[in-house]
Amino acid sequence: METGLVVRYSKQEIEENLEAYENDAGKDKEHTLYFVQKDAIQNSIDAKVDDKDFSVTFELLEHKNNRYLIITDTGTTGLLGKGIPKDIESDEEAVFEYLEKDKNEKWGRFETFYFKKGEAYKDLGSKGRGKLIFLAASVDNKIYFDSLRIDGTYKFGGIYYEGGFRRLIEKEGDESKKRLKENLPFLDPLTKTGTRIIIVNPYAYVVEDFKNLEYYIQETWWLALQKGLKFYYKGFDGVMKEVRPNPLLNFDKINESRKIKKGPGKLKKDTEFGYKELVIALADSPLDEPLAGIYIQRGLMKVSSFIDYDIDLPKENKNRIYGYIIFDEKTEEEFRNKIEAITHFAYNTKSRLGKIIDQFLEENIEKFAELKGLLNDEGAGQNDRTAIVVQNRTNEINRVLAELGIKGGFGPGPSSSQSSTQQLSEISLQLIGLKENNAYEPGDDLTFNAKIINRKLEPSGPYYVDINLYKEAVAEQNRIETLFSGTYAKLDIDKVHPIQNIKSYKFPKRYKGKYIIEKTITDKNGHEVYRRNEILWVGVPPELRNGIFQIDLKHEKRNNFLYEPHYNPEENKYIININAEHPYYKKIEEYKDDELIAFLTDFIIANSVSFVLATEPDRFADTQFVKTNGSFPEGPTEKIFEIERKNLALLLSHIQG
Amino acid sequence: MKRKIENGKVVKYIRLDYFSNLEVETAKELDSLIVNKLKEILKKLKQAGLLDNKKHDLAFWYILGKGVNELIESDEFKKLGIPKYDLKGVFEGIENAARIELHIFENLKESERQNTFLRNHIYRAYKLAQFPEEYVKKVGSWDTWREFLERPIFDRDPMLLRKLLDSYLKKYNKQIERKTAREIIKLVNKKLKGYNTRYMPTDVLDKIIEEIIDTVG
Repeated sequence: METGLVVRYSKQEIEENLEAYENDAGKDKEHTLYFVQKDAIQNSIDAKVDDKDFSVTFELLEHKNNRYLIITDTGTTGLLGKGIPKDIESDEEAVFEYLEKDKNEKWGRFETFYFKKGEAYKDLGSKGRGKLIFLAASVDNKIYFDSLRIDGTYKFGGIYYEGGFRRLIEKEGDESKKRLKENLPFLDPLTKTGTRIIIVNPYAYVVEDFKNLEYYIQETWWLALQKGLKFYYKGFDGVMKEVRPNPLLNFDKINESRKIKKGPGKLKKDTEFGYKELVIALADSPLDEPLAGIYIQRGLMKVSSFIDYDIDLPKENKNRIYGYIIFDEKTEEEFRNKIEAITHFAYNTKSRLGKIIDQFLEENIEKFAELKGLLNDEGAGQNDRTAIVVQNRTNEINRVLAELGIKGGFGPGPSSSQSSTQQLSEISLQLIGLKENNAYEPGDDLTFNAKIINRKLEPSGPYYVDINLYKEAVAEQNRIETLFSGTYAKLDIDKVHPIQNIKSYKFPKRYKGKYIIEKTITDKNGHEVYRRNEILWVGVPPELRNGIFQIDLKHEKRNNFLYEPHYNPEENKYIININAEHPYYKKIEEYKDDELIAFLTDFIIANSVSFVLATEPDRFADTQFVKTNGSFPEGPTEKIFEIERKNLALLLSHIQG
Repeated sequence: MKRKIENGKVVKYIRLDYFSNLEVETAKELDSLIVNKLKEILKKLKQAGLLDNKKHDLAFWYILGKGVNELIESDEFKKLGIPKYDLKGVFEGIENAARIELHIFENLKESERQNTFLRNHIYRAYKLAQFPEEYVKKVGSWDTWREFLERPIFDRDPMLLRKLLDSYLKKYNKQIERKTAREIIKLVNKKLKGYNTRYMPTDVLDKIIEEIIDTVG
């Protein structure tokens, strides 16, 4: 078996490359699969021959204690070329010259880290370091690849680490088929034109992340999916599934009143840069972060979301705005060659084109937000306090219902919860002696001890340990007191390090509400190795996690919708959407009368009970209800104050048994 | 503005509701302290010709902030025993009184009532006025300052902000634009994520600050 050098590959390059992905995509290496899918599919689409036969399939396989992540494309040209000739492989200049000469030498490019210093942003597609991400996904730093090319030839190869990066050099045809069988006996040579990449022993987090693969592809390749390109995935369960388009991203289907569509036009007057199409749309409810923002498209690929814009919008509204921009050919070429990052996850926003794009999008988003009445000035942001009251009221009702055995969520679960999650981490700081459920009364003393257990970190410090007490929120201005601040020169592994002499605190008689103990451990470099919060409930009942009702505030310009309940089977909860744009709601908010807001919440929940009864009569089988005439009045909003509250109270008292 | 329905009529909320945690007597005393201080501030603003402008600029906020600092540092205020973490009600009370009594801020939207009060106008002015006046002008406009003052990381570690600003002024010797401020903040959040800057070795932190300032140039 002949092997050779891989030009310019090194462990350091692989690591730096992975870091670049992490930074540009804003995800850590546990999501390497997110990076892998993007590069793999991009390579395949670049080599696409026609849409009809095109597909990319991701598979997980296990064979004799080894695991494999296999990516296969069809309907592509295959990885053309002979590879780097052995006799020139140690002469970088000669290699680069060889590759420059033959644009179709794709195999050779795959075996090379092929770009010169200072050319990082030039012609990346052909010189990309994308394949380095495949090696970064492998515990062994090992990949195989084979290809049935459009000229009918078959070739097998591989790259692995053995003191340095090496490559397999195989002759096309039968020899290659033999090598495939020797190295990967469970695979047969490809029968359809295309390329297959086999990542040997992917990291456990890559395998774990496989459950998110569909979501990743849906997001990155939404346009390709709209155009009917096919992607498949198969986990260890062996069931082949097709990636479905995310219905939220079917922009054509979005009602005209909720989107704008522009183009073609110029990005900026008197410049050469233009775009084919810009779509900005408004989603019903806030989208997950990766889906929000305007997608900067390069071809079928989403490069990034433009969301970091400087418009005064409440976050929930910001995350409802999404859309995409497709550049004209000339601009796209400039984008790809000059400003797109090597990772394909970002672009140089400091470049002239980058600045023009950002400015163009910002202006258009602002206009759109204004048009849809989303800007802060129009009051969308003022409902913070109302939301808190609604939430508190909902908690209260949930609690009463929970006591009657009517809970949401699945499994036993505690009826009250602490908001801290004590996961097994490398180091932990546990508080000892807090009251049950972290529930205190005003005037109570807060006294406790604590211990540190170091499970994995380097024992020698110094380590700085802080325990701070806050009111309502962890923010400097909310800090009540530092309860403990100390330095530990050494923290031995698996030994209990007690913390004593923690200051005690007396909760003032007049303050009820949420208090937070913040626990941090910082290492000698200033890096926070541990940070957890412990929530204390003083004079108020602990928040309920598994309440049956959950209120979601929405901003909809639909006056005929004040609230809508629906059942969410995944969480076994009733979600009640309240329309914060409804005149009743707005009016109530304007008065900032907490009692009135609580009353509205009661009313809505009480009415939602009839929905619950209709959907699931068994749930309230043991609870008696009486009918009431407490209906919501029509007419001027002022009239809402005339509602007979006692009717509602009656209803609620019956719900509460 | 806060209103309440009583006997079918809309009545103005008295400001005391902001101090609902306090004893009534204390709340009343605080209220009169605030109103007196505001009148003083208003006089200064008038003298400086800062009340005609619809948009309040840096000088306006500085004078206001200075006054708020004086109030909070005054013996009369200290006697009331309001702890630092409960200043939120005081700031909200000042803002509300300024609107009702002095008719300033009419073009300004109300501060958001969040658990943290970083986005409270008065709190920001209070923080601003803790810097020397000349220095404040050197750094940049109110828009620039607002960007910095509402970030939790600088609230937590004011020395970090001071270091960054010093470093920028030293290197470029010019005011910081709002856009640049945002870039600096973005880089700070990226590079210092997961760090407790108060415990970082000085040389390491200084190097990162230098990198950030070099990048935004």
